[in-house]
Amino acid sequence: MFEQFHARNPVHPIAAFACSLMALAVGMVCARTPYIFAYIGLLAAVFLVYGFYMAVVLLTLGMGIFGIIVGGISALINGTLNMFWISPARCLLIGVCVVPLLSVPPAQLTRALNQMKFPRLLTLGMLITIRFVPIVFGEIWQIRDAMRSRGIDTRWWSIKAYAPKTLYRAFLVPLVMRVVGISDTLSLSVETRGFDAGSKNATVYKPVTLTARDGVFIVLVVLCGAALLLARFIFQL
Amino acid sequence: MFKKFKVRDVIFLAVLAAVNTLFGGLAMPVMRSEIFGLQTLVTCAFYALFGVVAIMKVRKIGTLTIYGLFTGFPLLFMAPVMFFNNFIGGLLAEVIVLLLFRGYEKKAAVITGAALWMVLTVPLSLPFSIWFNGSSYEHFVNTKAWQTVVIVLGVVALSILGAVIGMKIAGELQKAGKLRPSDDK
Repeated sequence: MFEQFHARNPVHPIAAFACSLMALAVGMVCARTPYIFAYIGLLAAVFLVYGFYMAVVLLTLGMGIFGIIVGGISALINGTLNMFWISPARCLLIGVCVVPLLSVPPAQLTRALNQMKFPRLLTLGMLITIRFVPIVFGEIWQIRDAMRSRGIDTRWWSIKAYAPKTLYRAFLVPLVMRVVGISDTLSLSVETRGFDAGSKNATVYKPVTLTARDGVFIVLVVLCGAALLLARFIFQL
Repeated sequence: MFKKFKVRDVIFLAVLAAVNTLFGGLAMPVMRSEIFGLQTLVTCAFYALFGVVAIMKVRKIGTLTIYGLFTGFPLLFMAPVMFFNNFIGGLLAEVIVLLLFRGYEKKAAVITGAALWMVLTVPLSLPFSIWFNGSSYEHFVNTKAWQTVVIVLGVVALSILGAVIGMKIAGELQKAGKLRPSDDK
């Protein structure tokens, strides 16, 4: 689902999760100080050093543009440009804070959770949820094609495509049918490969370990947060 | 009362959660809206609909919590706070259904559970909204009370509607033998 964001050498998934949450929490607490941009810049620099180029570039660009649009709309509604910068700042912050998580392949996260004795069934389910989003998206397009072949105008602006009867009979029912079909096939496949909910002696392929590199990453993110908190609350900048 | 989850139960819930995630994307254009609960209003009918289908197939205690966990998982990568919103909403809805109905044997329990799930995410999303929009709790209560009431009523109505449609779809598919409850042989 997020393959383009995955880093070649991601940080430990749990460290990435903790750092994302912590960076976001600190940023939100201090979101109304202009120094938030320096904080976002520092975080982006740390993430770039760690090789999360794609995620940093795409997310800062995307969220930055989104924030400017939203801020512009808010400014138009409020009739003032005074607090215009808050929207882009918040959007950028959210974009940058999810970078460590996005750069972690979901398989790494499930491996880490498995090592922490998290129930295997749940880690399997979470992995399937992420992996199947594009597949289900493809199925929806196929259902749309099927609707079109039956004479329904499926262009997004066509009101007929959203008629409740059409949506129900030609879209929702086939969609649930496909989900049932896909999950039955997948269950059979998983069980055939020996995956069993009760097996306790399962091993983790390529165990994920916390390294010194991850430790430095955590320290750097904490330092960024501490700098912002100091600027905001101690020095009242 | 408590039944063990099988691999096929979890896989069904996970694939259905992937569908739900896609429908959750409908909230993207209104993600930055300052109208409290608008994101939930846009997606609640679909979440309730698929929630009912999930419970009708896997009629076990814990289904809604696990489903909440799975639907929240992709959000973890995009907005970590939203993960807790979905997961805790599912957990609370499940607890309430257990207290009221002691399981999912009755159709009313299934509809209540799935509809409650989304309704409960509204108060849970209050801290998220305050963070995201930089508003204060007082701002929501004092200046936008009527708006909040309308949105919450809308969420309740759409959740129930979604759950009822989900029940209709599940009923049809069960009649056709396509959506058998997981414990039926």
